[in-house]
Amino acid sequence: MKIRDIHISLKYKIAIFISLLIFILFFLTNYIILKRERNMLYENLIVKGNSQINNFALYCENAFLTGDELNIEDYVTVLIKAKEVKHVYIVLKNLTYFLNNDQTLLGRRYSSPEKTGENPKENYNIVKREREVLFQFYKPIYQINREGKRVFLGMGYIELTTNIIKIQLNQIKLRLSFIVIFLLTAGVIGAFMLSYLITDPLKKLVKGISIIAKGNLKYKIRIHSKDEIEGLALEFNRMTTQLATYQKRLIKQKMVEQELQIAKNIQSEIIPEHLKEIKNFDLFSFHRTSRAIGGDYHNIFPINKNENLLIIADVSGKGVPASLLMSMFHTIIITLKKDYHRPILLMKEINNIMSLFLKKGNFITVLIAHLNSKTGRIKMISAGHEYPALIDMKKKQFTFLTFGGIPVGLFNRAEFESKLKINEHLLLKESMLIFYTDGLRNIQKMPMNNKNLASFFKSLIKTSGSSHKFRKALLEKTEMKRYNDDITIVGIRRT
Amino acid sequence: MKVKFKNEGSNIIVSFEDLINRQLDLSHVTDLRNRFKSTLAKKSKIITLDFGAVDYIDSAIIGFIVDSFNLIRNNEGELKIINVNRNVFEIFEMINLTKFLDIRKR
Repeated sequence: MKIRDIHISLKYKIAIFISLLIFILFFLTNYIILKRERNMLYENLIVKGNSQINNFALYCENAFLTGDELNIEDYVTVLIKAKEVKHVYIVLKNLTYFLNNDQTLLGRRYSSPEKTGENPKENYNIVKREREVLFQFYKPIYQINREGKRVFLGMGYIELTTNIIKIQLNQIKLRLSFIVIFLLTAGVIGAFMLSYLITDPLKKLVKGISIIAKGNLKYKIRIHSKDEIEGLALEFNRMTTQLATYQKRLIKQKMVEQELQIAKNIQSEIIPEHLKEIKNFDLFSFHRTSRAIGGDYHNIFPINKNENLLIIADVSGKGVPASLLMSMFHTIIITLKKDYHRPILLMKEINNIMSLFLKKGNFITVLIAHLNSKTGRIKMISAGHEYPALIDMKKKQFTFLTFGGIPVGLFNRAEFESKLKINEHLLLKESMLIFYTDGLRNIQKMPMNNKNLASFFKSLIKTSGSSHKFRKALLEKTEMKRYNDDITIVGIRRT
Repeated sequence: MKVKFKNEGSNIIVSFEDLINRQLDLSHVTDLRNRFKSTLAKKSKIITLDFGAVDYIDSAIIGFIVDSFNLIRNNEGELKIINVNRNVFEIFEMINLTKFLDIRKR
């Protein structure tokens, strides 16, 4: 069923219900009014009949006393003129008419009408004559004889028609019908208006909801019915506003995500997925960011046929700020190409330039390794970076190469430069150097200190027989983790 | 996180309480900068950070400490860190902070 059908039927239901109530009310009222009117009319008729028969009997008695019997006929003529009076007559003891408004019946035998009802308490019968219901009032009429005694002459009758009541009732009915038709029409119109008043806000609400459901979250439902429906509409509007805010936020978030994806693509151009191959060295690398982009950096720059420069760095913090500084760091390194063969000078230059941009406690730890593929000599210089791990697979030995240096951007130039120190190392065949960022310390439940990290490396050496297996195991252990920190690992093995 | 400042003459001892997982990190930096603002501006003070309740720090805290250290030094003051656990000490050692600041292990 469509929503539209539901609210239309509701409107009609309410209207029909109210109309029905009005109908019942009016008919009940009419019935009561008519009944009362009818009773009143009948009562009036009885009162009238009683008084007429009493007067008639008295008049007759007086007329006989004064000898004006002829006046009785005049009296009857007057009586019969009244609308309701149908018959006036006197029936003698021998059941012949003594007097009748219908002169033709005089002297004839009294033909008794069909009795349909009798009220013993009252002096009247309800009779039917020629299909007409009549109230027959009766009273004995006396005559004073010569001895002055009251002698029963006969029974006096006055018959009143009930047709007049029927006509009067019909007139009342007609009048009432007009009133009822008028009031019913007004009532039905009123019922429809009332149902409209009730259903219109609902209709607006349903319409509004359907507009909002189609995605127009700016739409406001305007209902001023000052009732629960207005309250409902207000709540709905509030919900829609919240939804719109949420949607806006979602769109913004989507945009940010898209922008981050673009930034990620740019960053992936800076950080190589696979390192350049170097003669006599086997290299591998692993790089993951905790967010779309991060502050870890590593790269290899060829200097000449035998010399290469490996740089690994970690910008403090995470996400966009760290990645911006990282991009800047990369640009600076590219522009300092002339100093690639002089690592100390390169590091000093990096510090000089980067310090201009590193404010409020931001810093970078950097490790530069100058590799000579011919001799296997590696010159390393560190600016507070994680200690490289030296692994001898043959002897199954592990050592941290600890050397000085403070991070770029933290202290003044003189202090920074005073701590720089070249550390030279000859990488033997089948020996391996692992460079990494501090993310590696966080791949276990608790951050690893130097002792834990050493144990971690040692256990890897123990379980994997060859350098190849060691590398596989290291990357597997690292890859399994969900990253809450940027992580970079670069391994160099002399072949 | 609660930060307590205790004045002992020219010595101000700062301790931390209610750290989640005993970790001091990036999420605390803005708060710390605001709380330390007036203390760091004072002249010739020895400020001692008591790391008795700190087991883990991140790079943002290192940045904050060195930044504060540079500020205190400009004000002819001194910054000390005491009760440092092994993990944190190793980090300070790796970046050679131990050569500039008086850092003592637990």
